[in-house]
Amino acid sequence: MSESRGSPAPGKSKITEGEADLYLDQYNFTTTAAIVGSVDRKIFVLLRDGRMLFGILRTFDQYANLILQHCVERIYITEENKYAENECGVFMVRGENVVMLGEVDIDKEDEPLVQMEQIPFEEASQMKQERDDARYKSESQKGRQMARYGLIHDFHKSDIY
Amino acid sequence: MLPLYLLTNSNGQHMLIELKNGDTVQGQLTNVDNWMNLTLADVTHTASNEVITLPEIYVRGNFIKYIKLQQDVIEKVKQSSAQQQSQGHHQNRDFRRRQGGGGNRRDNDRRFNQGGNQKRNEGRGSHYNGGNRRYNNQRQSNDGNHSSAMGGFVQHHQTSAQQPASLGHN
Repeated sequence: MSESRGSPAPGKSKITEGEADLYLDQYNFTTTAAIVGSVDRKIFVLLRDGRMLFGILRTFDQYANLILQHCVERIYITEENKYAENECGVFMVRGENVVMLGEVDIDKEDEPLVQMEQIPFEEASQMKQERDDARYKSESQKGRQMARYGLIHDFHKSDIY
Repeated sequence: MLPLYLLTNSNGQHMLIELKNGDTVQGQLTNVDNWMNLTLADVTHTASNEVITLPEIYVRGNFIKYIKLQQDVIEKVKQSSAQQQSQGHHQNRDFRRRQGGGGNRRDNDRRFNQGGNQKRNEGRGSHYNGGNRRYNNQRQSNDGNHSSAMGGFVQHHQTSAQQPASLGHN
C-alpha cells in the first residue's frame, strides 16, 4: 500500500510502520532503547534517594534522562497503611538517579490506594525522613560490624532505595 | 525531542533544580550545555532550612538530581521548534499518511496524548476492553500524525523529514 502514491526510489526502500514494529519486537533491547515502548504511557520511576515518581513519559535519551508530564511524587507508609501525594507538573529526571522504571497499569493503579489513608504530603515526607535516618543508622552500624570481619558493606547515604 | 533539547530550548524559563545532596536551586535559566551544566539568574538557593538569594549561579550538570520545569514548557518548545521548521522547509511531506496511516501500531491504544489533562479516575472499574483508551485531545482530529510530535526515538526518526501537518499550510 505504500507504493500506491509517490513510491520511494528503488534501492532506497523505506520500511512501513508495521514493519518497523516487527523489527522492534525481534530485538531484546537491554539499553535505554528498551523504554521506547513506554513513551506516552504512564510510568513509575524509583530514584536513588528513594523517591517514587509517577508520570507520563514524554521523552528520554541514552542516559535515561526522562521527561515526565503530570508528574506525581508518592510516598507510601506501608506499616501504617498510609500514603501521600504531591503533584509536581513537568519533571526532568537526570538518568544517573534512576534506579528502575516501569509502566503503570492505569486500571489497577488505584486499587491498593483506596484501602489506604491519604495524609498530607509534608507529614509523610517527615515520616519518610525519619525512616531513612533510622535506616542509615542501622546500615552504617552493620557496615562497622562487617568491617570487623574484614568484609565490605557498601552503603551510601544517597542510595536509600 | 530529547530531554536536553527541551532544556536548551527553555531558556528564560523559571525552574526548580534539586541537587544530589538534596539542596534546591530556583531561578531563571540563562544557559545550558551538552553536559546539562546550567547557569541560572535570580536564584534562590535552599539548603535544608537555610535560604540564600543570589543574582546568578552555575550548576554542574553532574550534580543535578532532577529539574522541575514550568507546566507549559513542552507546549512552548514544541511551538517554537515547529516555527523554526516551517521556516526551514516549504514542502509538506507526510510519509506516514501515505503509508495508510497509523492505527495499526501494535500498541496504539493506551497512550496518553499531549494536552490531555484527564481525570485519573476516568474509566475506572471497567475491564480493559482492548479498545480505544486514548485520552482525547484537540489535536487528534485535525492532525494525522498526532503521535509524532512528542515521540521517542523511533517516531522521531520516521517523521524527522516532515513538519506537523497542522502547521504546513501557512
